[in-house]
Amino acid sequence: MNEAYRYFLIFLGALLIYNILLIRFIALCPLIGVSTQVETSIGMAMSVLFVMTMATTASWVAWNYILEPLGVGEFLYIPVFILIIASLVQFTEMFIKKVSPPLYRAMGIYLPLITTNCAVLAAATEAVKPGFLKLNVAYHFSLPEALIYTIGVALGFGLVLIVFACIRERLETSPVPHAFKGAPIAFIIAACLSLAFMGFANLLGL
Amino acid sequence: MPEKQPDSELEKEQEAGVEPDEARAESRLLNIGVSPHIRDSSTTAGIMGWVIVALLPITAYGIYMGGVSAAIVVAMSILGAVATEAVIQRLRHEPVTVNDLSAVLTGLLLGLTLPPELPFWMPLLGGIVAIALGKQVFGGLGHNIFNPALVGRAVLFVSYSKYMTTSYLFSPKAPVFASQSIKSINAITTATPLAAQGLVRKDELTVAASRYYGPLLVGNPWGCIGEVSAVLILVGLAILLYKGLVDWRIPVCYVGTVVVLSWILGMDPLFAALAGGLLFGACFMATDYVTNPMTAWGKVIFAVGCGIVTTVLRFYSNLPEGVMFAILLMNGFTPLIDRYVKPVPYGVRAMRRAQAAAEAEQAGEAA
Amino acid sequence: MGWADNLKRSLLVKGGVHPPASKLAAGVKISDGPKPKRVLIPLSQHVGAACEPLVEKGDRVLLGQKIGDSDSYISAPVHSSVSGEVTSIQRFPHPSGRDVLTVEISSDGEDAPAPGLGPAPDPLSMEPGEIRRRVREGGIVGLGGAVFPTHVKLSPPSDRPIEAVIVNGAECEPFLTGDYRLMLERGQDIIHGARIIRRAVGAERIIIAIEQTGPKAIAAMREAVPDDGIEVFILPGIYPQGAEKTLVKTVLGREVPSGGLPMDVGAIVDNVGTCAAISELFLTGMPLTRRIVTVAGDGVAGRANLEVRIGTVVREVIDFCGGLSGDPGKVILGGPMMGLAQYTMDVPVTKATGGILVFKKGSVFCEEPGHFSCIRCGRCVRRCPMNLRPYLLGSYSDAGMWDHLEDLYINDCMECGSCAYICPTKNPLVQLIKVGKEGFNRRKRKMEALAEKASEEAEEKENAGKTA
Repeated sequence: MNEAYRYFLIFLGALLIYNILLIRFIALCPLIGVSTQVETSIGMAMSVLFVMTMATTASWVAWNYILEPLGVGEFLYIPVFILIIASLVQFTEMFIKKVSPPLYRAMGIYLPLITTNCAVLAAATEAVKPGFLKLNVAYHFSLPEALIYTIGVALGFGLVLIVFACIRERLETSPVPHAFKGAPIAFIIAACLSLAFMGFANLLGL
Repeated sequence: MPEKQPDSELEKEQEAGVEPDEARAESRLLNIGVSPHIRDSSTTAGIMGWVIVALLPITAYGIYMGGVSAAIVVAMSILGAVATEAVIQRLRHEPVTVNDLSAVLTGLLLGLTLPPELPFWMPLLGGIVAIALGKQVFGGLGHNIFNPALVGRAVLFVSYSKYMTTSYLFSPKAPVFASQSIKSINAITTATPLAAQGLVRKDELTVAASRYYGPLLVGNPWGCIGEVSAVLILVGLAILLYKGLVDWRIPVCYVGTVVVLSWILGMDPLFAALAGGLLFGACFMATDYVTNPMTAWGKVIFAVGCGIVTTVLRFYSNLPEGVMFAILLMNGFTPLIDRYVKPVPYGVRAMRRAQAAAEAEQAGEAA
Repeated sequence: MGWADNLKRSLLVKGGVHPPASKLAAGVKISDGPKPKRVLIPLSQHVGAACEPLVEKGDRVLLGQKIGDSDSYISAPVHSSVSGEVTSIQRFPHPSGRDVLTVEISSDGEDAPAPGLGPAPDPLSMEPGEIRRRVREGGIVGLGGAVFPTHVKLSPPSDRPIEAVIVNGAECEPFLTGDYRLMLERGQDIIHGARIIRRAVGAERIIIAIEQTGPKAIAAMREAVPDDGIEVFILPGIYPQGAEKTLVKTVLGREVPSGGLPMDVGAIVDNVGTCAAISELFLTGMPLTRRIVTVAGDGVAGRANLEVRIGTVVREVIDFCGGLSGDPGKVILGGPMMGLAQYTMDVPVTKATGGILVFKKGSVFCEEPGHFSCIRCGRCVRRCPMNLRPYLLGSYSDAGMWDHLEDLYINDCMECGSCAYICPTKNPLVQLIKVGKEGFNRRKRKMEALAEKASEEAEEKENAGKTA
């Protein structure tokens, strides 16, 4: 298979076909929690893209050069990755705060949230163990593949988050039944969007 | 000087025990409703009614082709939708607005997108889901994000996909069945022409496609109830356009995008336009007021997006047809489009220009 | 034309609506209104500061005598429209719905004119400043309905050169025919007034803009036009064509900046009625004491275009036209699209009153507004002449979410009512927008005051820190 086409498939699969929020239902807490306003969800999406890319790179290096050679990957990868992500996020937060206060104001408040975001862990894990995914195009991601995969996941996350925020903003003035206000209606919207995304199932044989 | 409201003065007079001036009290009865004092004659029920009228030809022909079972499917989905609307509004202690015909329309649209041979409870369930989950849960008419009829259909589609994709109609009444070519095509297909195209793919396609034109235009035996005739769908669209009820941009851009993309990808363009649920979806589903963008350019983006997704799903997924998922997906994107594609109010460009000029002048002076 | 028109409309529709014209009184000549025994002259009949009374109870006043004035720049004096005795100065109902300080005069029927009123010599070579002074003293305001003091319009700052005087003959409101009749009968007066305005602002062109729905008026004005830079411009027949900003866009192809005035794009817009009033002021010296009022509607027996003295009580004008026919549903001062429905018929005719329309209950919109419900048909967005999004204005205003209204440019709405007219769910959009403007502007003022206070406090602290 053509190299470029494989990258394209990995990207599309991560972005749409196996969308992390709507098809795999990972990271629903930021979806429900942060999506009340479009501005905040854009900030969140940017932060996730940033952190995810960094976390995946670090995890990929740790897996391929430390965990795998030592033969301890299978049972240590979760604590190791969590450690990597948490320290990375904290470090990034301090770094941004020092270097660029405006960027910190725009992004900083979301960074602590991302520390515990399962989407970041999921992306990092799958970048080194793609068995989670039915992506039969590549069983061992090279670093560029892992990065493309991660960017796809992060953009898919951001896209859905922003779409979701726009929908919730429009519903602000709607007389949603009292029992459904807040999280319940958000889950119903998620269900409907998920229904729409199901159309992409099996696209291009993925 | 503070200005008194007339009412407070009257109250004061009453407090002081003074009888208000009789003529004045009487003239208070005049209505002081806010302008404009004349209104256009259109109403919600009128609009919904005309859409139903536009759907009547295709409904009648679909029922004629599909027989009693098709009639039951349509009736049940309307019943499910209307009953659900009434029950939920009663439960919410709101005025029951069944007579604005919007629930009837939702039920009818749902029924027309179902295959004619279904157990009766399935369209009933679809109607209930469409109104409850697709509309009322968001706050009722005007607040739903997704097309209620398509929400109902999508739920049925993913829940009972066997019924939804295989039980198409093979009515002996279909006039085109006399022709031998159609029978031979039937022999090799399991479902719709689009699925058949998926089997034969590009090589034989251009040969085979033109054979479908006739049946797709006047008596499609493979489709849902509302897909039996492209001609009658276009008649419905003509009614809607004549009454000024839908924006031409959506059907034109939607079908146009599919036609162009299919042509590029090697499918017969006319066949691509006529086959499957595209025309019905583009004319009646994508044009639903509530779930498409408000501005002209927003509508164009929406329709082109629908067209792209439909074509992609038709060509590259396992599904024979992608109209429903495409419209649902773009429904989801509608608030996003509405947020960023908005009209520039009168004078705002001029104001920005003037501000920029003033700033430049200031900067020049400072320099 | 029907289907082709419909097709064109559904393809290219943008801005404006087509309410039925219903120009019932178009064929009726302008005639004199009633001779009232008593007039009520409100001291606030214009945009800007209200006047202070210059007379006292018991004073004798003469026709055309100034009875109220103000020191404020944006204001215009008011004059007595009869001669007689001031019987009281107190609050009376006013067409705006409020009670306003009003001079009540009982007429002696003699119409003795005030001294010192006389024709101005050669206004077309008069100094612009003198023209402005006379226009102000004459109490001239915009008679198209906005009642903006005309002398303010005639004083553009030196960095705003005026290129064209647009004479507004687009009477786009249904039913109203006063401007139309004026163009048919007093074309020369209008042109004379327009020339005085041109002289005052130093413009070159005069453009008389008339809707294509009034071919007779177009012909009459073309006939009256002499050959010196005066043109007749034919407008499409669409509501709200006569609104200042829409008019400038159609005639000159320029948009008035948001929050700006036509003078920002080199234009000044004056109604034909204003032009005729200026002409009369300079020809006879008589200040603005009467105006043309269209009386129509199925709730009143007659129909007429009357030259009514300002201050005449509406009830009297209706009686003059044969009285009510049947139970009135609404009495509207102005046109049916933007006019104000009155709770009483005892309000006076003011400088703003272009029409008195009386409708029976069945023929006018009287429904109580329900709660906001929108089916997102998008008609209001397409029809809004200002390119706003009325459905969002309405829904945010209904929810009291004032902060959202700024990005929607709510203050650019001119309340023409096109959105509410076309709305299939009959949402009271104009009312909601009025409420929204009030709420938004109040909140904005409050936030500005808070910000000012905060910055002051910060400054004080800084100063205190420095001294310490």
